[in-house]
Amino acid sequence: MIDLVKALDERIKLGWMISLARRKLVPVHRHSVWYYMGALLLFLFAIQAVTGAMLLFYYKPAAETARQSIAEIMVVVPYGWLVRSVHHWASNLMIVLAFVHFFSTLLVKAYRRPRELTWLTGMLLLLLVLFFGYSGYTLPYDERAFFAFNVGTDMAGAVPVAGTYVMEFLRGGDTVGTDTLNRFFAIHVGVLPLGLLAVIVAHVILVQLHGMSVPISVLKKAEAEKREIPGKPMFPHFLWHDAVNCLLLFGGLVTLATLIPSELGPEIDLLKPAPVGVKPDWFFLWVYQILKWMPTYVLSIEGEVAGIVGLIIAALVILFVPFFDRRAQRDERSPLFTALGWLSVMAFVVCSIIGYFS
Amino acid sequence: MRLKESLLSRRGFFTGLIYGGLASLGALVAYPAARFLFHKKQSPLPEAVTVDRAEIETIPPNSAVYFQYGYLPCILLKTEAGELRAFSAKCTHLDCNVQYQPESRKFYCACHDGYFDERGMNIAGPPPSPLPACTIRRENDTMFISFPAAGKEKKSVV
Amino acid sequence: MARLGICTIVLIVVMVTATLVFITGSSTYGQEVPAVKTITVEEVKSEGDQGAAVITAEQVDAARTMTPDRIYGLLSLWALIFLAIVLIRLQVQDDEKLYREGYYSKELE
Repeated sequence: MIDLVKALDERIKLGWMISLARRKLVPVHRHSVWYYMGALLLFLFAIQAVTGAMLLFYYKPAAETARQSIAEIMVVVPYGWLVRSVHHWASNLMIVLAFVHFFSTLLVKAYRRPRELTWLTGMLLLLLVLFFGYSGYTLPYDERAFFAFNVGTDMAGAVPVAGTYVMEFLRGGDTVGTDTLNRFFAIHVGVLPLGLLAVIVAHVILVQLHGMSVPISVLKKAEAEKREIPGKPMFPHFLWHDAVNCLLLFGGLVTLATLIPSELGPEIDLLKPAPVGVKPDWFFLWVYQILKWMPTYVLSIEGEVAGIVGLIIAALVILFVPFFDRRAQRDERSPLFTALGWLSVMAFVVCSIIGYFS
Repeated sequence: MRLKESLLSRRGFFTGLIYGGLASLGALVAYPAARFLFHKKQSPLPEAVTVDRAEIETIPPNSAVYFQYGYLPCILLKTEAGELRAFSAKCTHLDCNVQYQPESRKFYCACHDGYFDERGMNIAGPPPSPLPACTIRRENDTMFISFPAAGKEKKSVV
Repeated sequence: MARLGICTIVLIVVMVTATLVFITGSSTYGQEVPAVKTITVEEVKSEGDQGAAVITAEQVDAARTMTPDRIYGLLSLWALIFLAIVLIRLQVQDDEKLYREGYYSKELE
């Protein structure tokens, strides 16, 4: 009988990897549940890559054929409805979990020294995932996609200075047309996957280098009680926990995909007016609502531009929060930034809900 | 820890069960994925195609013209004597389109130097079988060209 | 050293000669085939064959409805997931015991 473990150990140093994983301890405390988010996101990315590649076999990325090819996938191809719906739901779940992961690291202040780079790469990942979601739902080239193209690229164009160039780059010209679909397809299938993969590798390496961050409150408590924070080894305990979580996520994903399969909107009609109540997809409702509240003019700047610039500034503040939050850098409690963190969570949730019902 | 009589330890048994369980889960996921990827499009051939006699008159004797039979490129030969013969234009070796050489009265495949005679029989080179021939029937002023096996054998299965 | 120099020169001469021979030689690339003459034909349509018809919104909605097969598939999926999770939890329990006994602090030989 071949000893598989020994054979692998000789060739790829499996033993070294396993002993590394055994030595890595994951801290166990009341906030440990947030440690699971990363593995779940990685699992969802793998699902997206696989289902995306499968859909590529049948999707025809030209303006005349895109919507029909998706209709074919839904009706003719065996289990096409399932692959497409899984891809759609996994994208929604991935964005949800990305926000959960983002907000949880913001609130437990996992961005403290020496993990600033992990935070920065993580923010980049969030941006890429959002762009993935946006470019993805334009690909069916149905009515809704058409409005997404117009509004989204217009908003990119509203950014001062660079806006026009970005807009023309995304559109492949002055107006939304067949070239726009081609570009978004190239972005969604070529550029973003490679970019996301590269940043994920950097992010995961950084996480492994620094180990898991422990929240300040837990640190303080352990200090006060003069005891070590217990940890469990990554291999095999946490790996099994990750496996269980991924299995549950997979089951939930397939259930959602089967109970609520993806829809396909009507064909694009260039002369039709925008339908009443047309809105962006749920993960942009907060932006939609905030821009809706902006007055037409703010100090002689167009309201929309002011809104977008304001949002960009807020995003930059959050991006550089590790460098602003001095108290957290010293491993001290930082209630101001905790409050700001909760404020941003509330703003996101409340604006999204209002945007949904408005 | 393991009883003397048992093949496996209790731990080994459970590990095996887990991997078996995950493997069956894998099979449950792989089945729809395989059916999705191996789906074949139905592309049946028409029962027959028709040509106007007027068009046939324009073909000079001892020459051939091409026509499309569904997805199959075909070749229509008018011999020196004026007889019409139709074949699939796809060489039976590796599917290159053949051409008619009036000087030698043969069909020639340029890909690997294959030759068919004017009745479609493979006479030289790598082609393993003759060119599939069509039946031609005349009704008033139209010619009906059909593959004898079309509608049955040539229909691809999903 | 001199031998190396001579070999290099010979090799270069051979490469240049071979290149010239191949570049200036006749190639069959892009050679014209005798002009292709085609005739137009009409297909005889039979009732059975449909080809690629446009897929309607009703068909898409029909594909989205739940069928008993899909429910069976979901149930079997959850049954297997449940089974796998129970087994994994048992394994983790065993691993915890081993960890407490210090089994996992030993290096893999």
